[in-house]
Amino acid sequence: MARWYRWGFAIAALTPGVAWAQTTEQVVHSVWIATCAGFVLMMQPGFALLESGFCRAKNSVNVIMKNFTDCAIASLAYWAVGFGLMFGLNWNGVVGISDFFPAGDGASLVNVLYQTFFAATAATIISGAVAERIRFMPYLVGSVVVVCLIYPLYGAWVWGGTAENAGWLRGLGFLDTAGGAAVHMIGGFTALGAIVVLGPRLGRFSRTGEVRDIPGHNLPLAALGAFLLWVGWLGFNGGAADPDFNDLGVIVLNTHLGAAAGVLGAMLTLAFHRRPLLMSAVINGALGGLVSVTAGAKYIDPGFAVVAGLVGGMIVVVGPALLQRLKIDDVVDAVSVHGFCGLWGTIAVGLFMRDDLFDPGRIAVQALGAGVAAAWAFGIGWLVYKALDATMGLRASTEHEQRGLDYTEHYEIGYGEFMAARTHRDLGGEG
Amino acid sequence: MVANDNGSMGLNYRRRVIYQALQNTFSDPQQLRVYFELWQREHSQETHFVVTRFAAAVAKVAGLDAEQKSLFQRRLFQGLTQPYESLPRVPDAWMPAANQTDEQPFVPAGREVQAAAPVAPEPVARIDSVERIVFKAFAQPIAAAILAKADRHPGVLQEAVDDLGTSASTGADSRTQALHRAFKQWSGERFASDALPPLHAPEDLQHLAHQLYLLAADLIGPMQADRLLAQAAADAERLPEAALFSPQMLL
Repeated sequence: MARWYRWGFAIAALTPGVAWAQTTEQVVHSVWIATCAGFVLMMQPGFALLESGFCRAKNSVNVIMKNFTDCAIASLAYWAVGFGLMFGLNWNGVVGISDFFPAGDGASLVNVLYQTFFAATAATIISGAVAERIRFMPYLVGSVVVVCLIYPLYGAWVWGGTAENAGWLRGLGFLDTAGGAAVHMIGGFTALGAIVVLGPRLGRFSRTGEVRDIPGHNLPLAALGAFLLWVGWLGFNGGAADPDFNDLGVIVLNTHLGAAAGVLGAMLTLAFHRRPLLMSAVINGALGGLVSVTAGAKYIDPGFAVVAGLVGGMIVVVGPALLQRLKIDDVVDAVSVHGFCGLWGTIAVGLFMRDDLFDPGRIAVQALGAGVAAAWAFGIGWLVYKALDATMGLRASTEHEQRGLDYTEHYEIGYGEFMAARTHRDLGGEG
Repeated sequence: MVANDNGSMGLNYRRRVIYQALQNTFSDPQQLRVYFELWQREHSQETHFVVTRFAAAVAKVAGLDAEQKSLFQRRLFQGLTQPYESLPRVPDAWMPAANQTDEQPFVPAGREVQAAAPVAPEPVARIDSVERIVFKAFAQPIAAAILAKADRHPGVLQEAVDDLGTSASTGADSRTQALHRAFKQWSGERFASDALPPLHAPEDLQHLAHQLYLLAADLIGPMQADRLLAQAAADAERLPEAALFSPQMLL
């Protein structure tokens, strides 16, 4: 541990904004949070590769552009407005009313940075679900609304305020380590609202109800993205460790075990249904496992993290079939991975709470918090995207869907040598 | 665009293209004339101006190797991109009797015919515009796949076309609606080439191509539709007419 602190001092000396007046513990914690913020930022390329790989080649640039730009735009919007609504002085347990455009001391700004990447994660979850048919500008406006309204308000209920003046869910004893409900459920169920408004991609469902597969253009890329997410998740959850780091070990171990169990859960479910061991489902299994332990990473023992992850892996195989039955088209299964697994993981905290297993009162509070997250995110998400559809037009035209959004939205294509002569007009030609 | 006033590629224009390519390839006038007459005799009546077929025939007779054949073919394509006036005039003595004094000047598309000179009837039936030739070649495999699927489910084609009409009538201008009516009529004729509505403008043909894509995505599936479209464009690209109107313009 002593070596740890020496490294902490060395890094802190190079970190602008970390005041030397802080205690050693605070300095090390600040450095740790800054490091975790870097890990969470690394999840953005993870999402970009995963979502791009799961899309057709003609939309690969558009998907990455959405990830890239919503990381930037959502960060600015969250810093300006969202952070204050979420962590400002809490008004009646509902909403923060201070700390807009935060510019305080070094230690608190490290937390602003970390929270900003959380907000960007919530926004980018939607990107994959709506891929291949949403117009770019309305999508970006939607991202801003997510980080300035949907995410920070729910965040204020769960994490906002102080012990004496807490957000209303926090006051009831609702627990969420690193955003299983606040980030993943909010992102997943907002995505559900968006794709209900948006409708399926052209030809996704036949007239007889048959579901047409639209395989991604580069599954190795998707797997690489999932690996990046797996690594980044250690910082995503790890940043929730207490300043004394006593719970850091269990958080990061639970995170990793959840992912591993998710892979196993997905494979067992595929085998049970006598389906091939699809890599696309298995990598989503890892992500489902990670989401499932995000709420409880700090509060449950490793054995139960395995159970939570295992069930998460099963959900990502079963969830998409349920949505498909309802003719809902989720390109990367974001609703199942983030929404459904987040729901399960949030309730699992109540089931598997350390030293308080299966406490009905706790289960009820966790179920209430999860239910509120689902209803809030889906309801407001649906309204927001409906309003965007009415005002800006959400859906790309069928001509654009045919040609691919890379060309029609950005005038660039991902794989020029292979595609220009096959599926697109020459870039020098007419638009 | 190289076409005459009624939208077809004139016979005299094609003669000049052939003559120029032969002249640049064979130095012996006797040999040159033999091959020119070969084209007159066996290829000038072809509905489509398929220069590759003529290039293959000449290569066989003249014993050209692959490189020489390729060069000859390239010269033919180059000729197709040149205006009529810049192509060399075919000697009168080489012209078929009926046409000997009647070589007509090339008139670019859209220009009025000003010349008062008597016009002899073309020896071939009027041929399609380049755009339509390319479109027909492009549309054929997509339409065939759609019909193969639709024939297994009676009534589904009509239903799908009607649904396209519903979306076309929502906020669409009169031009789009007219194009949809034309498409619907064409689908009623099972997308027969000779029943293609009298459309020539690239944007109109592009609209029809998009309607075909939508039908294919609906009836066959989006992946198949993407592949069909890409393959159809690649196949149509091999037509000599594609040098003048690329099927990529239909995507």
